[in-house]
Amino acid sequence: MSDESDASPPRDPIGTGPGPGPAIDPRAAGAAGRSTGDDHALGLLRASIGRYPDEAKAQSRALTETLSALTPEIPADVRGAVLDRAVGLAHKLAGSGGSMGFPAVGRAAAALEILLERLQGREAPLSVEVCAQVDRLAARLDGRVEAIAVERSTLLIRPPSGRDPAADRSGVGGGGGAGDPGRAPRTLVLIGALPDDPWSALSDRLRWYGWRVETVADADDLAAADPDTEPAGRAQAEPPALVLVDLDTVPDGLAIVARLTADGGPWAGVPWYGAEAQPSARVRARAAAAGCAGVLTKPVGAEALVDHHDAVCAAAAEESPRVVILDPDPAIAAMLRHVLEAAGALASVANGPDAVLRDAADGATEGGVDAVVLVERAEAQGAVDLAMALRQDPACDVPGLVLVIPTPELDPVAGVLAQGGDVLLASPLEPDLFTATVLGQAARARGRRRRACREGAGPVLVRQALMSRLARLLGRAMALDLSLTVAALTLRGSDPDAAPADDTALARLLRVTLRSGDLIGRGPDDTLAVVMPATTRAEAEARLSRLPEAVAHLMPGRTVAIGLASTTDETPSDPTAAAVLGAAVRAVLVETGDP
Amino acid sequence: MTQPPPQEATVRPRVLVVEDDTAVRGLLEVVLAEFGGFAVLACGSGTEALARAGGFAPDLFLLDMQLPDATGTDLSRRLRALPGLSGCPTVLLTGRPDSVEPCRQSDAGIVGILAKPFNPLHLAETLRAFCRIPSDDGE
Repeated sequence: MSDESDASPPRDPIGTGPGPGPAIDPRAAGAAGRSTGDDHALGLLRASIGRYPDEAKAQSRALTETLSALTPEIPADVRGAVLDRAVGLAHKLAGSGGSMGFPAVGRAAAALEILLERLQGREAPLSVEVCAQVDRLAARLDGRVEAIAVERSTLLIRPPSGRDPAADRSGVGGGGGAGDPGRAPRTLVLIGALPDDPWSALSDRLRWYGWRVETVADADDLAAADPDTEPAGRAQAEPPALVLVDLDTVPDGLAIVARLTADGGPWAGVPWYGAEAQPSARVRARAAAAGCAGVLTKPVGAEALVDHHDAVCAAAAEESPRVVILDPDPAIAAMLRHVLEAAGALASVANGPDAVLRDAADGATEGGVDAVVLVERAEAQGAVDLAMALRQDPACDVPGLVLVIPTPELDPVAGVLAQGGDVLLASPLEPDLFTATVLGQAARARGRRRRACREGAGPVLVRQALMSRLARLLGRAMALDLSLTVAALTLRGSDPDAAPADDTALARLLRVTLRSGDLIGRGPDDTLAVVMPATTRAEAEARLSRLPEAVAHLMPGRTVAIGLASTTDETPSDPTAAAVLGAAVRAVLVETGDP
Repeated sequence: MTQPPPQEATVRPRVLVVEDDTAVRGLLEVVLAEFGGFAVLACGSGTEALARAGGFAPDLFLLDMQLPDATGTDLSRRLRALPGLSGCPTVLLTGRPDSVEPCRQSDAGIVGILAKPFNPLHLAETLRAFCRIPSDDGE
């Protein structure tokens, strides 16, 4: 993976880069800015930041020099003074880097500070591995300090139009589906659509999935080439839910949309795709590097777009991944925990193999541990054995397993891979690579868990999973006197050969129709069932009201029958999940005239 | 140091900044004076702050927690012992907010702790809120 740096080429000439310090807008920051003049104030700010590189480099050099004495042979009484000085220098850089608008420097310094601080109270001599890890982190920090470029400070890059990127992202999954006429439709911006293109069919079909398509023929309509001018046209309006750029007609579309959707850009966080007639591996790689969610092959189907958008939203909505670390060296364990938490994970350090086994076993169900990091040290064998045990235990085989070994020699690598370890890394660890690896394994584990209770890769819960969740939701609804409505849906008009595809299409329509908290699953008699928590019968009817029309348009010759049962109905004699679901199914049968 | 013009001295809230990191100190000066509407006296050590605070009559202390010659907590206590400054509130700036002992905060006049890296855009607003200083817009 690429190393982050505060001197990387500008990704986003119209917005801020990532970091804790957003660009300062004198108009929003205070009256003094207005009275003394924006240019004067910004000039002072630039001069202030301009003094930072030299100071940071001096501190980094002093830190490197100090740490050069930190060897396994260093006497304990000298080591204390060395660590005290080094912690102080790292602490200063950790605080100043982010505040001056260079978050990569701040993060690198913070990781080193954590590790050094944990070594301060240690009585035993430092191991070779610990010293190697310190050297690795110090070199990483020094590289980032050397790469500081004043003009890349997040305090100086011009801010976006005041929109909160987080708010934009939260809107990605919203929008009105086919059955939610009260909400605004989700918007797809289609860049590069020519008048004679077959994109119009896509637009018409997407409408039935609750989408509105805005076509932009020329990418110049979106962003001005001059980074100091405001983005023009569509980019100034409300951000879309999804962007699709035709790379055949807009060859520079990757760069343009990457700028618009980068952190701080007017479309920050909006997922986007490219489309090509014959996308090559090279184009796919360039697209991935630009932050594109994928390159689709033309002609692009409405259903493919809807499915992709749903997958992106589901990934974005996932809670923080949970990671357990077992490392015989508590100082390095604390540093690893710090870098994972800085990346958004919930990380904990296990106090022994038993704790790892317990957490991993608990993680077999949703909501458990997603990844386990086992660090093998030269002086404390056992991680490899534990990895084997985890892999052989059916209750512990879900979490991703990252094994860190002392050296990348071939024999242990081959041996552990044969035993089923997911990924191997060698000490000393490079924090960025480590973080990306662990989070990747966590994502894979979540995907495995998610698929385990669903039919294929779609949204439909298998019957047992649906019944289990319905029982839980129903119990809560009854206890708290909340409404809950269950719907059963049956398609009519399908021939046996087309039935599986029709079932998938109906599930897709339901997914775009329902709220994020609603559940879709397999009900009795192979019906599709929907559980809508905190929903009255009237609200459920409204939510599903446009579904028959959408089915008629998108699936010619088919009709859908919908049966509802709600906790707000007359109290059934048997208020269990099965009874509620059964009542919904009976309602369908009555409606369709089946016995 | 950014000294306020005489005619503004009566309307601008006055903040004494003590930060040993030269770059951060300069940034705090600019952000608070030019963008935040404060009158700022910036010092690089506790000793310098103790020598100059009395003549500045600050409304607020903004102190780095880890200074070469004092901790922010101790410096706050010593500054508040100076004549006329006993009621002046203190905001600490630290990379480790959880390391500040709560029991030592109240008697040192600490009304808030800001974590580094701080957000310059919101710094002035945050300080005003901590110290109940009305904004320039009167809000």
